Amino acid sequence: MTGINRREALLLGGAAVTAPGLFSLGAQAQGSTLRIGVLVPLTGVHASDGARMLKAHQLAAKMINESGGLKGLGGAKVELVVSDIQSKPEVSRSEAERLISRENVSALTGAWASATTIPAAQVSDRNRTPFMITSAVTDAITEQGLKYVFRTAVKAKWFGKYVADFMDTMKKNGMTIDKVALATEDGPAGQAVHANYSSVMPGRGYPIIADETFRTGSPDFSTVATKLRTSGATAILSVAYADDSTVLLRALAAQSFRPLYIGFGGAHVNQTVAASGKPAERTFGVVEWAPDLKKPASEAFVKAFAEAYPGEVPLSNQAQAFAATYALALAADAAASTDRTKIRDALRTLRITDGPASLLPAPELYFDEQGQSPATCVVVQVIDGKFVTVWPDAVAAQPPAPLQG
Amino acid sequence: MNRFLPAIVPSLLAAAIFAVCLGDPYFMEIFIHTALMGTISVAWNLMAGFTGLISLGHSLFFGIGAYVVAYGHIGFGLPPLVTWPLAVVLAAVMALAIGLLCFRYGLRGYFFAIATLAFSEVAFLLVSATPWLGRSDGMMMPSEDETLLYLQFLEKWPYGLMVLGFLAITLFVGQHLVSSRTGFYWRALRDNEGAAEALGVPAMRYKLIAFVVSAVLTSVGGAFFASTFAFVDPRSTLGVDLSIQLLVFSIIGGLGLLWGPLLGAALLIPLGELLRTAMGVGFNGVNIVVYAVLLMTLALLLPQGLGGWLKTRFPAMPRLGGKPIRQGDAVQ
Amino acid sequence: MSATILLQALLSGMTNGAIYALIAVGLTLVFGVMRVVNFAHGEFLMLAMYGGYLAWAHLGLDPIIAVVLVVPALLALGVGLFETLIRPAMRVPEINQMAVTLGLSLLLQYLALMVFKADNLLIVQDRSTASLWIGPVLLQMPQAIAALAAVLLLIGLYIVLRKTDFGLIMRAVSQSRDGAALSGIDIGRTYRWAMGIGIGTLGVAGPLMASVLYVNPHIGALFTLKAFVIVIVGGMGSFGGVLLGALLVGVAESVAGVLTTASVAAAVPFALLILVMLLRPEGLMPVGGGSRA
Repeated sequence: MTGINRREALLLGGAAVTAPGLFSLGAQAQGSTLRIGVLVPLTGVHASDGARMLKAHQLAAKMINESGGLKGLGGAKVELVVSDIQSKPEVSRSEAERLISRENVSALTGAWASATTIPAAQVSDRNRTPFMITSAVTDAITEQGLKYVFRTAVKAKWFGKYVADFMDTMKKNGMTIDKVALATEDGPAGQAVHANYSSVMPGRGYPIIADETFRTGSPDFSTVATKLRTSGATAILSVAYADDSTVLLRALAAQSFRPLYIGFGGAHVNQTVAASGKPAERTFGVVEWAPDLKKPASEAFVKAFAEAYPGEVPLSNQAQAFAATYALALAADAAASTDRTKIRDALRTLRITDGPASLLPAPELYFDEQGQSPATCVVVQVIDGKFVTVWPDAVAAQPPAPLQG
Repeated sequence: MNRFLPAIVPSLLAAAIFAVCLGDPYFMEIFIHTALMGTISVAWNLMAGFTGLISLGHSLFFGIGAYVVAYGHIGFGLPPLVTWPLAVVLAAVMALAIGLLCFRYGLRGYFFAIATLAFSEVAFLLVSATPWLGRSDGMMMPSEDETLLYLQFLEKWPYGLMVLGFLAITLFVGQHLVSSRTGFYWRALRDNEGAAEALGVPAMRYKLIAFVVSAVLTSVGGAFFASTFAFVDPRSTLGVDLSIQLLVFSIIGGLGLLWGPLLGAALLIPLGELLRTAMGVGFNGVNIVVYAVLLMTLALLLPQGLGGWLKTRFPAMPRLGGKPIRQGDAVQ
Repeated sequence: MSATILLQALLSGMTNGAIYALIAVGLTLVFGVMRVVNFAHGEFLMLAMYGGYLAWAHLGLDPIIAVVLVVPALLALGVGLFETLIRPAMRVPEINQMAVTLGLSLLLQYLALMVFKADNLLIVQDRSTASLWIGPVLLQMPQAIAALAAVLLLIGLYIVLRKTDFGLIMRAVSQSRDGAALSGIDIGRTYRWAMGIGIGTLGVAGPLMASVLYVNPHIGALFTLKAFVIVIVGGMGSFGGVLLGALLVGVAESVAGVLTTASVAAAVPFALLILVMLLRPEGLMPVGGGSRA
């Protein structure tokens, strides 16, 4: 059998896999609902993140259904089929398989971390089911030629650019930023972004003069803090889980060292960090979305979220989960079908500039041929114990506050 | 013929389950996971159940298999035909080295367990720090090469068939060893090493044989994992959780029986799936609480495992595998 | 690497080491006296940390004061653990004991997840960011308090073990269970108290650790393996060994962290363990000459 014939045979095999399973109905038979599989870690080390993500997915489904469902599908409702992936890659894989073959979902979304997202992405691609990734930032996911994978999250390799842009602005405003230090968690969360910061910063005129790593759960960060302090760095770029962030910030505060501090992503822009009080005050965070963003869809989302979950303010990854769920529904609506491949094709041509799904800071939400969205970032600052968007100007709630306050 | 009954019966049962799962990709996924974990648990138990050596570092050998295949593919474009044998050789050398060190210094019981755990943790952390092995993020193998050469199939059943073959081979190799002079020496070393040595059993040699055979089979499991899932990361292939699962399946299924660990995996993995899907969201963690209570209860009340219990309940059953560990037998 | 950083790494390493000792001392007592490996040790630490957090958040108690409440609670938990699980577990093979304590570790983590949810909880006090400068290097206040507590606890336990009848009994059982039983010692009672005190010491560690770090259901698991490493490096059952092992592990980790990445540094304690097991399997400071298994 030649390679080409082999490929064709595999394509046929793939079609057979997509066909309805033994005990489940065909996708088309369920015209009145659009079934979306939601992969979230509700137990294990990522349990708190997963529980938060689920709330945003559910809010999106509720809002779509309450506004009359999907017109293109005759008012069909969105039904979420939620699955706990236990923060484990192998469970993520088998649950993706189960949702596709047994629960007969039209699309999948979620999976939180890169390690739990990649196996699910491979399963959905093999089974020709669109998978909308909410929060995993590993570059490779949308660079491996997977044909059914889409992502609302930013690629890890883009963060460096935004951080450098932001520091340029701060420099123009008169702040001295010449040498930077990296402080990154030595695990999956930190490594991808660390690689990007290391390659971007020197070229932008920010030489890296200290590069510190730590492992999660370390009880004493004094040495890391001392090295950062004595390095002469005027800015610290950190990548850490919220828990380690608080320990690191306390160690820096204990040494009265308060340079420009830029934390990373939803892990930094997190209630735990704000709750640590003084040490976190006036630190910055680069993040894909923030609740005080000046954008109509974003404001509407925060309002709806507060109504649905009283007392809660959504985080960046929740906005991505919300947009992800909405984008899948809009694609099915545009395709007027719950067929997996038709939804995939519709996602390729989808362009969202207004409506609830346009809440992310980029002017337009679409997906390129690799499935990557043109996501951008904002910079937030802790001012009086609250995260406030301070950059870029177009969406900022107020200008950056001085570091010492 | 009769000698291989403990290998033939479970293999045929597994083949029947494989056939049932053919029509459903989700069942096939669970079959593959169960058969893989069950088989490497059988390999693990050749050491623990038959030779009395509890390894908590078997993820090291699984990881060697997985990473040799993944890195061979990504770094050099090497097909499994080359990388699988390479993985086996590397795992054998590693087991030989660790075994020589540990046995030379007479580590037993908890001490051997924790020493092997330390070796696997060192490997886990070093791989997590190595850029060309993908660090803690792991490595995704390119999906373009959907060819037989690279064992990349769109469908699941070829993987099911492969793991079925692996299961059968492991059982036959295991049964051959267990029912030969080697197995006799192993059990003698397990029950009383000092006495066995005094009677002329070459302890070092036979403990090394157990360790190397077990490690080699485990590395094949790791190689299969990488070829099947096209993604390796330190936590799922080198982490301590994996090693602990082998212990759990073996205890629940029955340590003294060749097929005991397979039974343990075949009960616990589908049960875990069932609990997760039956409980639904809103009961997060209840499934694991049930699982944990079950594990504790069985480990206390059925020290011979479910397999051992079945054997005492139904003595008419053909003599499958060696004698179960007696209650109160400390493994050391 | 400048002298300041090296000094800071040594001091941080010793502080970390003292905190590790605070956790490992209970494990060495249980392991040394009963020869039971308790894989759920870290989960009892986690419960004690929640105890400290709750006392601070709901009763407004300083974590140092909370120790007074949490120690008896953990002591009771330890005795309860012995009566319900460990006593029956001592009648089954070693490997089944491992399964029992592994199951318990899972059970406690997930019960905590259901009760407390997964979010990180913080104790925020004025002294959270306070520090003591010792020349060019510094010691953070919460860490310093935990380290001091570790030293006091070890001294206290040492005195109890050396100077009291109870200590004599513990040591006798640890050295020869059968010999102790023959001389009329109630083994079951000794075990119950060893377990109670072993877990009870975590009542000191928990509230103080909670003010150093944060609390979540999985935090204890981070420390269980490290505690095992320390107990074996030091020589099981030996308090001096725990302190020595913990300081060695803490300093080695900290200094290695200055020289290389954190993941490589995290491998150093395990490499140390392998070396010690091969060269001096009875540990660095064995009790009574030390026996191996």
